[in-house]
Amino acid sequence: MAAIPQTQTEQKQSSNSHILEVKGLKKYFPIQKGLMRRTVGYVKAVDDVNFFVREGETLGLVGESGCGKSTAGRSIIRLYEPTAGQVLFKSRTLATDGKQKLVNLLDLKPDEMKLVRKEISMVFQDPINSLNPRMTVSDIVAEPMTIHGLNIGPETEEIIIRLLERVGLRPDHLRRYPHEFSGGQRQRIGIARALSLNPSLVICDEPVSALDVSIQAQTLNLLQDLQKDFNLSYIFVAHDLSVVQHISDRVAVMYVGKIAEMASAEEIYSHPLHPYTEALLSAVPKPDPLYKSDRIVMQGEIADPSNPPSGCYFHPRCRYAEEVCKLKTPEFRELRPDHFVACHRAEELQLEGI
Amino acid sequence: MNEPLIEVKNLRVEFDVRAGVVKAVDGLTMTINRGKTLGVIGESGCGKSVTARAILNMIPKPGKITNGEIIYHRRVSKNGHGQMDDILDLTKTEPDGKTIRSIRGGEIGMIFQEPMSSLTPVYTAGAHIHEAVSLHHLTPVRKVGDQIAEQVTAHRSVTKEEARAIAIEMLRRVGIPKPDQRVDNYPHQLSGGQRQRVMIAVALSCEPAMLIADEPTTALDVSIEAQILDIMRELQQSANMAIMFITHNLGVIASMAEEIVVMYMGKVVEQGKVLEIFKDPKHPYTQALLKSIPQLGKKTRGERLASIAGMTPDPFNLPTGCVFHPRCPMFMAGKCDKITPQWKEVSEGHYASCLLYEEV
Repeated sequence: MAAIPQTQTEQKQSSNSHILEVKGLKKYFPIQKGLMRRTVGYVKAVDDVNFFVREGETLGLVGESGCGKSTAGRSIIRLYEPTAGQVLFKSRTLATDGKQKLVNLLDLKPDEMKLVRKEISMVFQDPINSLNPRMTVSDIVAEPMTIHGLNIGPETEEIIIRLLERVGLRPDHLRRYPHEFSGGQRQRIGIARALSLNPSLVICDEPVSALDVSIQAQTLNLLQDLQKDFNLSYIFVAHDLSVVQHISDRVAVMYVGKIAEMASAEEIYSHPLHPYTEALLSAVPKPDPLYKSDRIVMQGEIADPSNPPSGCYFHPRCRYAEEVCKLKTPEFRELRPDHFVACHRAEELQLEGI
Repeated sequence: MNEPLIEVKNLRVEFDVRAGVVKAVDGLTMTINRGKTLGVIGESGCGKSVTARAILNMIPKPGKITNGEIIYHRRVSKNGHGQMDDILDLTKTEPDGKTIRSIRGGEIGMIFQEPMSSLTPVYTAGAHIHEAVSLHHLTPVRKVGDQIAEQVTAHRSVTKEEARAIAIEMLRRVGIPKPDQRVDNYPHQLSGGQRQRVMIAVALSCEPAMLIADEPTTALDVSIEAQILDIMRELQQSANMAIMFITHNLGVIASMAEEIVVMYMGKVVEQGKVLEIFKDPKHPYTQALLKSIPQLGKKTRGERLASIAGMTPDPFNLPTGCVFHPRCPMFMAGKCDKITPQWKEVSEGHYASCLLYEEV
């Protein structure tokens, strides 16, 4: 297992600044066939993933579709029950001394998990399907409070109105239904709902990819403002590399269920250490007609997570692949301070950033 | 040398719905040249897709073209030697008639945004291409149009085996691995990127003179997107195909188009060469749109993105004067809300409709 190597001092630091630490997280979906629903194999959607989120920061999680980034996000709050691993979360509600307590979410009993869900919320991609069309805005935003027994009559409405105003909606929107809003406004409703329980960590699963550019800019600005105001930490799952660069403090790049590279946004975009990151960055069309791209062509298709290649999962598409890449799984290690990579040749390769 | 293929003149498309009349496209004029790419950008609801559908004369009900013309310079063979252009107004064709049906998909191919819903789930990937080939390589109209020399080919119907061979060849060209096996796959067995490539194969199987690509890569990952853009460029060069590329991804448009049309609420607000639009945008809407995208490689972390204030206006109740004035940072009171800006050449080949460039 490739765990994040930690020295004694780092461990101390981590317990102070990390709000969430994921260690060796795995989520395998069984493939069942035949009348008896016999399990014939597993889709390794998330396969030994390690990362952490510092308090008040945004961790961008990028990768191609099917790489397991959304599954990783959902496994953290056990919307999918992870197969193995640890999700260490600094919880306020489970602390007995009124401060914070580091808990492994995967060990929690259902009633404890429910308490922790007040602290971790989600914003979903599709603002149309993630809102119940038969509920009013007021019901939607109040639902988390109702579930947690915090909906206590008239005051709740005041809280909701304040939330709506904070995300840029008007109090008279309270009695309306989701279909009466534009895509951007619906996403604001989703954000208001996510914030209604005053969480400390918000998992944003492609929150702006369904929106127009100008609305996307408004929504990104809103998310940044809210982060400052409420001291939120974000896990920002997205496939748009320029959006992720804009919003993230640190970025983790995923490929077929594994994290290929993780570093600060600036570092990973200017000095990538993993060939996959390099190829991905070179493929992004730049909004500059004079820019002549030296695009790196990735051969073939993204690997099948139910039948991944041997060794490094990226080796069949990697232009730097050598014999060792076919045989051994690369270790996820800290090559430079705060820059983690899983590549055998990371030390010797000189890769191009942007 | 620019040779016009499609000339849209003063097009207006209206949707008469219960709540009123929506002018989805209002006074649109543009030209698509042979072998060139015209990029159309704008936010959802600005009329980009309706324009594309108007060209194919397939405006969904209750919409209809109420004004203007769409001139199609149709290339037909004449007596077996030489070619000539037949001029056809597409708005005058019968929407269900033979003429437009032979053009649709045959001479003008199209790719839609959502690969899952634009493929019929009960057909295999091969059958989709097969269908397009047998519809458009073999239309009776083409046989009539093609005179003596082409008669032989026109009368020769493509057999099932031949159509299948064309299908496999097209799948191979768009970069689908193992095309001889994939040809028997159903859409759900393909990944999103593969489905979109099948759509492109369908659109290109009849070697169209023009391809309408309506957000063809929006739902795809960057690596697949780059592959698909490469395929489109390659086919454009080999077949001198014109492309009308509709998108809101400014990065894609910068690398694909020679000329750009910027639309807002059914109107063209700016048009020019791609370089001019990106380096020196004239219309405040274009300027705002360009500023609102986070740029890769630029350190914008911690900064706010320039967003366009407010929402797109209610289409039943459009603002007076310039439709952009309520959201415009350069709003001039007493002018922009009263006077409708004229279409004006601000520099050579660069047009905009904004009162900043008019003396009023």
